[in-house]
Parts: sequence; structure tokens; C-alpha cells
Amino acid sequence: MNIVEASLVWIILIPLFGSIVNGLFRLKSPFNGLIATAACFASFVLSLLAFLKLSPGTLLVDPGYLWFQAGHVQVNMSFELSSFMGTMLLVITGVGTLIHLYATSYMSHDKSPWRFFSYLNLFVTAMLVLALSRDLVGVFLGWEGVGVCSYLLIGYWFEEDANTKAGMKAFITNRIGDLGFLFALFLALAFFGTSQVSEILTWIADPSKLAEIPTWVMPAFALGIFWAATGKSAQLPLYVWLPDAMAGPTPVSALIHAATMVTSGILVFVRLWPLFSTQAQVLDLVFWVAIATALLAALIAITQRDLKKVLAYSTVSQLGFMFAALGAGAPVAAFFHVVTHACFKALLFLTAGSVIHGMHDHKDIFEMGGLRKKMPWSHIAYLVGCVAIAGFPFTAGFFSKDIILAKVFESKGLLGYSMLLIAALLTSFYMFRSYALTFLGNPRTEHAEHAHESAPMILVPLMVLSALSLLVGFLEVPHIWWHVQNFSTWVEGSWSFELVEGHLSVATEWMLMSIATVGSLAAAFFAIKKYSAGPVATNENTAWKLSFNKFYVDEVYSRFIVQPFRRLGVALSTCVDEKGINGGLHGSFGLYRISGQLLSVFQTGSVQSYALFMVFGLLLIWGLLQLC
Amino acid sequence: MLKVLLWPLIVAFVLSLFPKSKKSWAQWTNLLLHLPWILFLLALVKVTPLQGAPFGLFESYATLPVFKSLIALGADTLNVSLVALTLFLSFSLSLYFIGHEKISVSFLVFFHLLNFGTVGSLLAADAFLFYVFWEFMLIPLFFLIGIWGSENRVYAALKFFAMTLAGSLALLAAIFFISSMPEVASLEWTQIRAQSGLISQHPWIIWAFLVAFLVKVPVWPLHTWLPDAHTEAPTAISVMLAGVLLKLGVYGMLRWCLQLFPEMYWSTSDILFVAGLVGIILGSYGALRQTDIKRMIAYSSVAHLGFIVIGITSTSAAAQSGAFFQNFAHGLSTGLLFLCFGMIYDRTHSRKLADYGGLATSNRFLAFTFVFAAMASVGLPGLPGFIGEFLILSGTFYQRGLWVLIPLMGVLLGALYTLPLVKGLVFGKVSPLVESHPLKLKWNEVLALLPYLVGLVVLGLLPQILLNWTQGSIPVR
Repeated sequence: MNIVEASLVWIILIPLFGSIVNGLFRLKSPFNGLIATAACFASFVLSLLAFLKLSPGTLLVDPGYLWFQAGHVQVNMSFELSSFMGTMLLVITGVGTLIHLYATSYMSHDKSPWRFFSYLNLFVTAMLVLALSRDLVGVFLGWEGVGVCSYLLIGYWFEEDANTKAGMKAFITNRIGDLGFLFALFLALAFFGTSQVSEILTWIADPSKLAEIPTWVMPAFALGIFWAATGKSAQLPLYVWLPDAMAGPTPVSALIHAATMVTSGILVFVRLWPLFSTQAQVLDLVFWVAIATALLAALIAITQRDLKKVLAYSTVSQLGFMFAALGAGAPVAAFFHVVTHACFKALLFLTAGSVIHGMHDHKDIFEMGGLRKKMPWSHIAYLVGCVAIAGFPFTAGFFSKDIILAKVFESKGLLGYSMLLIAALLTSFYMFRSYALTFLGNPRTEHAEHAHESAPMILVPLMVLSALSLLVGFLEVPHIWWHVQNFSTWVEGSWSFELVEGHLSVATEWMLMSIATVGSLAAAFFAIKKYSAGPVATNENTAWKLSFNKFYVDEVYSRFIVQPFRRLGVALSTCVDEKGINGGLHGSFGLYRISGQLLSVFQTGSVQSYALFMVFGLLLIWGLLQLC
Repeated sequence: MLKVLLWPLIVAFVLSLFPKSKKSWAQWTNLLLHLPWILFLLALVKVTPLQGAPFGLFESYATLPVFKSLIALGADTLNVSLVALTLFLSFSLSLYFIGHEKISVSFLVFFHLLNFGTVGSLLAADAFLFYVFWEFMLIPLFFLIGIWGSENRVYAALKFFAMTLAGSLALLAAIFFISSMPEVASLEWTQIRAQSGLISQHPWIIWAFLVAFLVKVPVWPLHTWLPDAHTEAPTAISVMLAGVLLKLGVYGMLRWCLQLFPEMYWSTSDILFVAGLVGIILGSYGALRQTDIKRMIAYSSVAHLGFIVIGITSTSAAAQSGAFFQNFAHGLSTGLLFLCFGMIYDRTHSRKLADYGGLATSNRFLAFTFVFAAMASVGLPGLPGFIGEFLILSGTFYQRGLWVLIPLMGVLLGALYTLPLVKGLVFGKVSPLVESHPLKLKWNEVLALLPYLVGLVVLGLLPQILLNWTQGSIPVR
């Protein structure tokens, strides 16, 4: 590793200043949004300057300062940038800027947009801390920081109880996950003696040191991080908060719950890849959890009526694809999907926001229809998003999903591959279902009849993201097409570590590619054909009910985990504190009786005299002592 | 040192000369008279040795005719830092007092007598003198709760008084016993310490010392006075209780148990550890089931202090430093919660969570401050509560392995009881109660809140300032 000192802290501080300015001065629209956008853009420019200094194998380091140190714990607040994270940095600040710009117009009619932009800039700050920190404790600072911003933004319209509740659900579910992160940190500090990423990686590369620690430490560390990732990156069993998080304003869903925050789990995995790659059993678990999540979420998405819910479950499913790639030992493929997904999912969410705006806050796709003519630009943008996520040839999703499917086939065999393939085909189906119901056919309601196209400030980011969704895949074309692998070379340079090379035959790769492509085209065609005239009367059988009611996961959690946990604790606390300890006290001291009698004494009210009396008494004692 | 100790007594005397009707004069005088106190403290901080032995700065003034005791004061960073916390809270509260109709001349006198007792207990370097200050604190506190508290105040004051006194009597017995030992030259701290081995032949002594402190902390199951006292006490006293008085229990355990009788202390540490664990879990659940906002915050203190207890009963340096740091983190965050809510309560006179809602609409600054304090209380990284909890828990794991999983649950429970509080108070629609009582803050109330916000940010991002300063004086096995 070639270490170069650089000042990275400004990338983080500028959005923080933006947040403070908006929070303190409560700027009017559009200045609140423009300041926030400018702060994010300035951060993007600085990121770009830092990015240009990078090359595979170079590490930019900002040494920072000693955050805290006591006993065996020593944590620095310092930052680093590798070629891998440099790419992510551009995604965070770049896509972030577009979303800020979009939100400037989108939120302009809100009651207090300055508060929104203050939170949004604070989120960017926390996300950058998460991405840039050298130390895992610093990563955790960002990790919980983005969680809080997400909580505040989901509950942004706090007058509705449902929104605040959704925010709380996100916060608490994420905290359950965070316990795993904390535990992993304790392990790292106790056994590796450090929590700094590069030092951990150096440490585990030394077999003699590894031999000294108990064998359970490494798997436990990996599992702790994975558990945390199931919270933040919405995998089974902790994904339940993400669909509810759609209660927040749509730009939030695009930035936080699609493009950046929810991919944090994958980012931490990729950074620590040399460690995870040694934990085959943990990766196995990751893989199957991911496959299950991808399938489950896709199965739920096919029956949902709320446009944002469809996209939310789609995000859960796509995150499953990324973890499947990690489980199959392909971190670069996972990260590539993070990047492409950030573009097309942000695009889809922002377009959904534009549609919802045009529909006067109606989100039910059954009530839409025919918006193709009312909102032509949004229509194109959404179509591009669908094409990209479904993996039509030469779009971003085509390249990134193709690599994942090939890697899964290569290392996990037919079963895992076919399950993931089904999830991919379902993706294509439900995305084009939502497309057909929203844009094709004739308007089905008043609102759809009177829908209007959004302002240019909303459309420009959509067009930029559309272009990215179509082009960003060319960063890494399949190796059977061309021998240069830009993206892989670039990302792999951030570890001093060799990845296992693929060994699929060229013919197999062509075959896999054709199956996925033909399949998703067919699924899309089928969905358009079925839904272009409007919603089809559903046969409300058990399977449909299961899917529409999200497999009753929330109900099961509430009934069998949350309620018993709460009741038991409360009952225990009441029994012990009120009945046990206090009951005993009252019995032995007769407290109630005495206090009744004393009350009359206090009510005489000669308080001043008590006070004077005490002071003089003390002075007297002091005087006497002086005499002694 | 003497100046820092006696100043609050002098202020109490000066204030007691004010006639009843000159309330606002007394409030202003009280605020201004904090300034010399701050200067005295700064002078003391300057001379306090950084890495010195316990009571590295020692002054003896007179010999008492009884119990072989001295009037002796000692200072090191362990107690000076807590004196600084006392002064910080007292100063911010004095800002809050200005123009407050309930804060009468006699309230201020008692308030400073309480400060006198607190600082005295912290600085006393003689066991009997310590005991005198320790007991003395109870008297102003009893009146402050019993007279200025809310409906159930006398019950709360009495319960607090009875439980604390019962604990202290054991301490007094032990002090008598030690003073009666012929080998012990005097009750001065270093002299007792010199005979530590001999005294340790009587293992009951550690429990007699401990029980006085355990009630104060309070450690489960001796905690039931706290929710009542906190709830019924006037705002300022809730702040002082949570902010510094509970910490006196922690200080007592460190100074008068751990440093004095290390062997005996460590033989009890496993029991205390378990009591700390139970405190975290049951304290959290206690908070979870409350409908009264102050009671909820009070129970959260039980849980937070549970973390501190498992920290100071750990042999890990990280856990001990973390626990001591947590004193300050909790003092600021819980103090801020109480003060913030106190300002609301002054106007609405209801403690029921169900009566509230929509603070974010009616007063943004208060809403922001409350959410900020709540986030500090749940241990959000970047704020000091995280540093304390993180150090305590990593130290616990370092020493006790998987036992850490139980307090780790406490981190989750913290969010479970705090978020509904935030939701009920800050978010939602404006409730009729909040609607009918304008929540505009006065300038001095805003000024009273600001130091906490600054303190929390500074301690969260630059905790090493405090950790470095106190590290030398925190005992490690």
C-alpha cells in the first residue's frame, strides 16, 4: 500500500456546515435547498479531487486525532480513502447532489423545508464518516449517525403518528442489529488489540497471531458484522423496517433507503473482505440468508399496490442480490451492483416521487394509469429505470446482475443460482407491472386524469440519472466480451490481497447470460401484456393473501417476540420493584403513615426560619472549632 | 481548597440576609456569586497534580477532639472533576432560577447548603469529616424536596431520608469501629489506608461502607427511593440529584472502598457486578412501564448507573475509566432532560406523557434540545454517553467475556424506553395542554440550556480531554 497524506476531513465538514446553517437560520425556499445542494456539491468536488489522486494500491490518509483511549481501547478519529471507497464516495456525493437538487423543488411547498435540508445534509455527513473512517469505531459513529438521520427523516412529517412510529421501528430494528456491530468491536479490541481496519487486516494476515486466539473469535466477529448488516442493509430477519421507512419524503427514500445508507453493510463487508474470505461457513450463511431475502421480498413486491412499497421491497430484494454475491465470494460484483443500483434505484424513487407529486400524493398504482401522456418525461425516466433494474441488454443492471448470477452459478451450484434467477425474473415482472399500471392504459381516477408533469428542477436530475443508469454498466463489461476489467482492477487494488479467479467456460457464461436476458425480457413482456389495460381482477387465494400481507412477518414478530419480551419485562419490574421492594419498605417503616403526620408540620410554612437556623448553626460550629 | 468548600456556605449566609420580598435580588446575587466560586475552582484545578497519588494535594487545618479525626481536605482529579461538575450544574441552574417565581430566598439558601455538603463530601480527607458532610447533605435535600416538591413530596422526602440514613448508619458504625482500633493513628484517609491490611480482617466493614454508597448510587435493590425523589423534587433538585448526588455514591465506592480497602472491595465485586446487571435490565423495564415523564427519566438513571456500577467493579482499566467518564456523560444528558422538561413543567404543570405532544411545533428550540439530550442518553456515538458505555462494555468483555451480552441488551432497552418518550412529548399533533400554555422560553432559560449542549458536543468529540485528566487518579486493581 502506498500511503499518501491528504486532508479528507473537509469532504465531511462541508455538509455539516450546510446542516448547521439551515438549522440555525431556517432559510426560506429555495435558498434552504440551494445551500444544501451547494454543500453537497462542494463535497462532491472535493471528493473528485481526492479521487483523481487515487490509483489502485494508493491509500489517502487523514491522520486526524486521538478520539479516546483507556486501558486496552484506543480509537482514532481518522480517515482514509482507497480506490474502492473513492468510487463509493463519488456515488454518495454525486447521487446525493442530484437528489438534493431534486428535493429543492420537491420540498419547496412544505412547511419547514429548512429542517428537511438540515437533516439531509447531516445524513450526508454521517454517511461520509461511515465511508471514510479508518477505525471501525468511527465507522460505527457514521453507522448510527445515518440511523438517527434516517429516523428523523422517516418521521419528518411528525404530526402523523404513523410516520413517527415508522421512524422508531427503523431506529429500534437497526439498534438490534447494531448490538452485533458493538460485539464485533469488543472482540476486535480484546483479541486483535485494535479496531482500525487496516491494522485488523494486517493482523489477520499473520498466521502465527491467528493461532494464538480461540477459534471462535473470527467467525463470531464476522457474524456480529453480518448481524449488524442485516439491520442496516435490510436482510432477513431484520428487513422489516425498510418498507415502513417509505413514510418519509420521497427524496429520502431515494438517497437513504436505496442509494447509500442501506448499502453500508455491503461496504463494511467489502472493506473487511480479506477477513470474511477466510470464513467459509459464515459466507455460506450470508449466501442463503441473502437468497431467501431476495426471493421473499420479490414475492411480496409482485402484489403490492403502493408504488413506493413496490420499490421498497425491490430494494430489499436487490440488497439480497448484493449479499448473495458476497456469499458467493464475489465482493467486486457485489460492489458493482451497489454502484449500478444506486443509479437506477435512485432514478426509480425520484420518478415515483415525481409521479406522486403529479397525482397529488396518491400512491396507489391501481388508481393511476395512462400517465404516459400526462407526464412524458417521468414516463421515460421510469421506463429507463425499469429496463435497467430488469437487466435488459447493455443497461447497468444487465452488467452487474450478470456478474452476480455467473459468480453464484460458479461457486454455489444450480440450486442457489436458480433461486436467484427466479428472483431476477420476478424483479422484471413486478417492475414492469408497476410501470404498466402507472403509465399505460387509460387514467382510472380523477387524480390520474388531472396529473401534471413536474418542474424542470425535478426533471433534470431524472435525466442525468437515466443517462447514468444506461451507461454506468460499461465500467465493467463481461470478460468474455473484452479482456479489460476496469472496475475490478480499480476496486481490487484497495486490498493487498488476491481474489480467486473465475473458471467458468466461455460457453457456460454465454448460456447464463442468455437465460437471464431472455427470461427477464419475457417476464417484462408478460407483465406489460397482463397489466397494460389496468389491474386484473385477482383470484384471492392463499398464495395471493400471503404475498399481499407480506407473509405476515410483522404480525408474527409482534406476537411472538415483541409483545412477550415487553410483557415479561414489565411484569417482572412491577413485581420486583413495586410489590417486592417497595411493599417491604412500607411494611417495615410505615412510611405512608408517618408522611401523613409530617405533612401538617411542613404546612406551617416557616421555611425561612429553618434555613436561617441551619446557616447560623453551621457558623457556630465553625467558630467553636476555630477556638479549639 | 478551603475557599472552594466554604464559598457556598458564605453565599448561603449572604443570601439568608435578604428579606423574603427581595426574591429577584437574591436570584441575581446568587448568579453573580458563582463567579468567584468558578475562579476558586480554576485555581484549584491548576494546582491539582495530574498523575498524583490519591489526595495528591492535602491540607489539614485542625484536630477534632473526638474520634481521632482531623479537619483535613484532599484533592486530586478524581474529586476535583466532580466538584467541577457540581459547579457546572449549579451555575446553569442559577441562570434558570432568574425570574422563577418559586425560587425564593430560602430555596436558594438551602440550595447552597446542599452545594456545601456536596463539595464537603467530595473534598473531605478524613473519615469522620466525610461522614459529617455526607449526612449534612441530607438535611437541605430533605427540606428542598419536602417543601418545594409536588403533591407527594413528603412521602418522597421521607422515603429518601429513611433509606439513605439507614445506609449511612452502617457507615457510622464502621467508622466508630475503625477509630476504636488502637493501631489506627487517626481517621485521616492515608492513616486508615496504612492500616488497610489490619482492618481487612473484619470483612463486614466493607459492607458497612458499601451499603451507604449503594443506596446513594443507587444500586438495585436499594434504588426505590430514587424514582419517588426524582419525581417529586423540584426541577433544580432533580438535576442536582441525577447530575451529581448519585455520583457521590460512585465516588464513595471508588475513594472510600476501592482505594481504601482494595482486597475487601474486590472480594465483593462479583456481587456488585450482578446487582449492576439487574439494575440495567430492571431499571430499563421500570422506565418502559412509566406514564409519568419524570419517573421515566428517573428509572433511566437507575439503568445508567447500573452501567457505571459494572464499570467500577471491573478490573479492566477501560471499564473503570469509562465508568468514571459516564458520570459526566450521564450528569449532562440526564440533567439536561430534567431541566428541559422542568421548563415545560413550569408552564403546564403536568407530568403525564399522555398530556403532551407536538413540542416540535410549539417550541422548536426546546424540542431540539430534548431530542438531543435523549440521543445523548441512548448513547449515540459522537456524544459522550457512547464513549462511556463503549469503554465500560469493552472492558467488561475484556474481563468477563460473554457476560457482556446482558448489559449489551441495556443498549437496546435504552432506545426502547427513550424513543416513546420523545415521540409522546416532541412529535405528534399539538396536544390541548401544550396548545393552551405558551412555551416561549425566557433568555436566561435558553442560556441555562446552552452549556449542556456545548458540554455534550465537546465531551463527545474530544473525550480525551477528560479521560486524560482523570486517568491517573482512577484506581485500577
